[in-house]
Amino acid sequence: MNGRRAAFKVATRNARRNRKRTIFLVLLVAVPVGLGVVVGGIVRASSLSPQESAQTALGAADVQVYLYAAVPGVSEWVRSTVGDLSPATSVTELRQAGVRIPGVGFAQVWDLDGSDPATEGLLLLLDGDWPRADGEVAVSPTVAERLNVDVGDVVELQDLSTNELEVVGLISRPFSSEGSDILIQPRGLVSVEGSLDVPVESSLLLSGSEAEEVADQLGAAWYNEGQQLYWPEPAVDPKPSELAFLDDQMYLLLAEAEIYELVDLLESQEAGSDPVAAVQQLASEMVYGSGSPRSLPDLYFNTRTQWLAQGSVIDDPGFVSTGASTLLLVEVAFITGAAFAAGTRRRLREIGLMGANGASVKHIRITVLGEGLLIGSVGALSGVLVGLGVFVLARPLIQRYVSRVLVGVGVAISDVIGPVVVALVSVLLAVWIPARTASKVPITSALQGRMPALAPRKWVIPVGIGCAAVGVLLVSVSLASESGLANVLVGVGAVLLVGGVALTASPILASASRLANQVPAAGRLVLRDSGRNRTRSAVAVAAIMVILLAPITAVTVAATTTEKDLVYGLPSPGNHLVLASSFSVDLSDYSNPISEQDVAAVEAIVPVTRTALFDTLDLRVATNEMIEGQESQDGGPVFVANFSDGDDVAVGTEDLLAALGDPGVTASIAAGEVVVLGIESKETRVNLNGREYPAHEYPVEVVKWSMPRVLIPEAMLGLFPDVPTRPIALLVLERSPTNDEYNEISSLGLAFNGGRSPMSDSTAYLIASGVSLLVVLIVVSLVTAVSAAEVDEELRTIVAVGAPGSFRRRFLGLLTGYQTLVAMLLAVPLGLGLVWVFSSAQDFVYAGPFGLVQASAVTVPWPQIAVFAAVLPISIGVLTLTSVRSAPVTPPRRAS
Amino acid sequence: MTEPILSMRRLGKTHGVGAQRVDALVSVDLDLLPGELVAITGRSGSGKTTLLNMAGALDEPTTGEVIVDGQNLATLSKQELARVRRVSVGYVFQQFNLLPSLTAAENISLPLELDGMKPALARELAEKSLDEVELGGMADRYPDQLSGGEQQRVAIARGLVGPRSVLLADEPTGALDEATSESILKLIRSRCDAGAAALLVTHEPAYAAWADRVVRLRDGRVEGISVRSKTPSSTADLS
Repeated sequence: MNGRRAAFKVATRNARRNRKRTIFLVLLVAVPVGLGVVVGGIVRASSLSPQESAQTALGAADVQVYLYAAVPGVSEWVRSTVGDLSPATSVTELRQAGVRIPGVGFAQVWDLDGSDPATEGLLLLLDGDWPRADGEVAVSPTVAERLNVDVGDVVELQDLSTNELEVVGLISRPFSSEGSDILIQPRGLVSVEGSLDVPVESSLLLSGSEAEEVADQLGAAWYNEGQQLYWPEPAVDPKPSELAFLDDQMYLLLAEAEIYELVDLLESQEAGSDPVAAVQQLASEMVYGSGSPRSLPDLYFNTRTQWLAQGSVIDDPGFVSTGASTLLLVEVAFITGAAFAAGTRRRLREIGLMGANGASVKHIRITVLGEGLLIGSVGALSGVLVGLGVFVLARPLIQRYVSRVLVGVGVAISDVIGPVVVALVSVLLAVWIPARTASKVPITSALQGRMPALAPRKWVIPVGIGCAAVGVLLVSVSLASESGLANVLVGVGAVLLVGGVALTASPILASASRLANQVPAAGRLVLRDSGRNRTRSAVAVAAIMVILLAPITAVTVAATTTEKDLVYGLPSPGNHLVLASSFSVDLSDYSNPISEQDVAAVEAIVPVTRTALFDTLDLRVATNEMIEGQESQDGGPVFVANFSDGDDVAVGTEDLLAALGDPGVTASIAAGEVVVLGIESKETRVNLNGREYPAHEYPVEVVKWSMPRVLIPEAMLGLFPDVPTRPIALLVLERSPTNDEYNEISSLGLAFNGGRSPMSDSTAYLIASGVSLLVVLIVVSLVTAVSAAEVDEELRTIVAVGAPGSFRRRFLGLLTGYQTLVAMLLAVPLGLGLVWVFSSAQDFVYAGPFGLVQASAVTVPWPQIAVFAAVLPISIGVLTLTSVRSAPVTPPRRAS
Repeated sequence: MTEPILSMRRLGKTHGVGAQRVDALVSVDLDLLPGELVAITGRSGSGKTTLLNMAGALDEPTTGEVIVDGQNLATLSKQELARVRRVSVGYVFQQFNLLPSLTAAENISLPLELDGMKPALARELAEKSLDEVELGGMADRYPDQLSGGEQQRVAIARGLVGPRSVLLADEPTGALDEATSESILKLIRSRCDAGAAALLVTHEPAYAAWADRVVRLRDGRVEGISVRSKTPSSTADLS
């Protein structure tokens, strides 16, 4: 063993002797590890594994063939083709419909056969029996609770049956305990399909060992010969020669009147314009842009192999648990490093004594590293136990949160290994420098308790700058890459960048210590102490710096986001709720109007001060001036004043104007003007269906995305006689809804927006400042405790020679304020640099009705940052000064 | 003729350079024979501790050489120097001689265990050493449970445990009362009489009188050497 065991024994004895410090560090390590375990467990509980996802979609089948825009005959064609390709492959039809049920809200209705092996696992039978005959139904616990029924009761579900239905069983989807599901007898949806006001979605499940191979052949047969069999006849045959350039499949979807409108448009185009582009755009809008986009019948395939191949390392609970604990353990490493640096200095004489008794450099390193290993191991183990304990105790809450009944422990070994390894590595890295320092001290100096003052190492600054530069490069390259490793490399780059800047703290403190002669006694001691004990001070500064990065990046991102959001309008008010449409199972269908009943249903849930049910017009509002060379977020071209599609214009009724409550808007509408609900007050022009109108823009806060931005006087309605109108509602709430109220509104089956205040820039700033002040205070108190332990001997000497006892408070207050200031000076450029690096990879523009802004642009809130940078160090210093104790007026006590 | 166990030849130590240069030791020659107790005396700053540090492989001489058990320390690596400290020479200081987290027996067995000896065997040797310094029942006591004199006895036991045969004591009685100091000196004397060799740094002439030879240092040079023909049995014999 060459004495390693003896050195480790000294390490364990030191850990026992410094029990308070050891317990403190063990807890510091245990908290992030425990948090990582809990987070990993929650992520595991709230996300489905590829196998679970496959079961949710396929049951026990191997392939799902989704019949898109199906017409009669397609299903039979698939069955027949599969039968020809592989008689051993079975085909089961799966039907579902999203139905609004009074008292329940939106519910998914199924009609599968519970005894069919192919659909096994799609739904679980919790109680009772599967429905087998007409008049029988099984419901999920959520539906049972909302309808207040149980197995054996009868219910009325008028959409599904004119008769009463007997609840014969309780069902649930796998891995979810809160779905609203109703299962009727096998093929039950076929008989009620005609009476439902929503379409029935249909898919075919293929089962058998050859199913996936059959799916490939089926797809090929469909595209080669099958799909043409089910194409509709063209409305005008043959295709007019003027429209020869139009895509054939798009042409098949056009109505007769639309085809002639396109021909007319082609003929009416003026010289110099691009008639082909105009016709293609209009045809595209006719087919895809209306409320109900059209499509030709098609087949989509989902195979078990595809499901199992899904999921990335980033989504893995083990990866998330490791990431969560790493963020905190970086901080823990800094504090542990500071504690060990101070401890090493305090134990110099012991180290010297060991050296005098023959301990080699390696032995001395082992005594320090061994203590770190012990603390890391005990901390990690305690963290795992605490994490598991918390997870088990919080299981009812977690189950409610993830809407799933957890089976077994709920935390996998892989969720635990990452945090434990990171804890051990971070603690060992943290104690490495103190261990190395301790082993390098000459024995004669160590025996006298003297740490030789070393000049700052010349390599520190170049290495720090190098690390930061490599970090920037790595982040930039990774953000532009689509590789699966990019996220990991971004993390490594960010760590290098932060670590590189942290390395420069040491030479900065050394340089600042040269100014010591020019300041009064307490300040002089602070500067000298920080310069002499650079390892301890630098890690303290780095620890505070890492915390300060959070508010600095948060306020910068908030300010940048606010600036970018302005191109879409002012922030949404928290008390506006816009009911945009009633729900349809076909999510692309937004044409369902809002009725007075819908409004009344919401008013019954949350108090409302004003309501406006008003008509919107499906007008084209965009000016469609394309900006050359610019790309939008989805890679498409960028247009100026690109209002969102459809329903951008509302009629300025009395109710609506009253609800908006803006006198300028009311006056303009009364004067017959067009009004834009924008971001500033100015005269402007608005293009409606190709014709420009003078308008006045007012800065009005309205709900983004749902609320029309253009108001026209009722008198102008006559200008758009053929434009369809659709009612929507604006509700001005007394207050923001509670979570329960919000969930209740959600269950009404309405598409709505607003009702909640998005966090403003200033709120984000205040919260970030408050939270960081708290965390910095915790870190500073830990660092102060570490520093105080080391300098107390010196301070007591100073007090013994005549300084007041309060000198200790002044010293520690100044020390923490100074360290926070240096940390702030490093954190500001680093935080802004991080935001800039991450933003610079975004090569597109945000374009909205009210302007455009480069996605890479960063808005720095200098006033807030300046205030924060000035106030925080002073606050920390004053808080430390007022909270620590004065030094007792007794002579210094030497170790014996 | 008996070979010296510790030999210093033309030993010199200089601190600083240029105007800051200080000669802490200048060409000191000294041999220490087995069973011999040599006292080094002199005023503060005369070079006593510097001499002792170089003899114990804690510090490197600027000039000259130190030979311990036939090994020239100048030719040894850091690892080998550490081994010399583990197996050849033991140190006793004025204060803070014991690691506070280890028991008396563990403090004594530390150099043996650091050298790779099995803990059980090291413990056995440590207990034997404790018996030799008349602290047989205190093996499991921690330093803060021992008096100053007992701590020094443990340190002496550790200094001569196992194969160690040279004890280097730097003012070992500096923090002790007179009676305790005498018992410590008696102990060192008795260990030398039993075959060990010791170099004792002291500025008390009365304590130096326990030595076979007394080397007086002044400004880093040997000012004189006196040899005693009769060893006192107590400090009172010297007055």
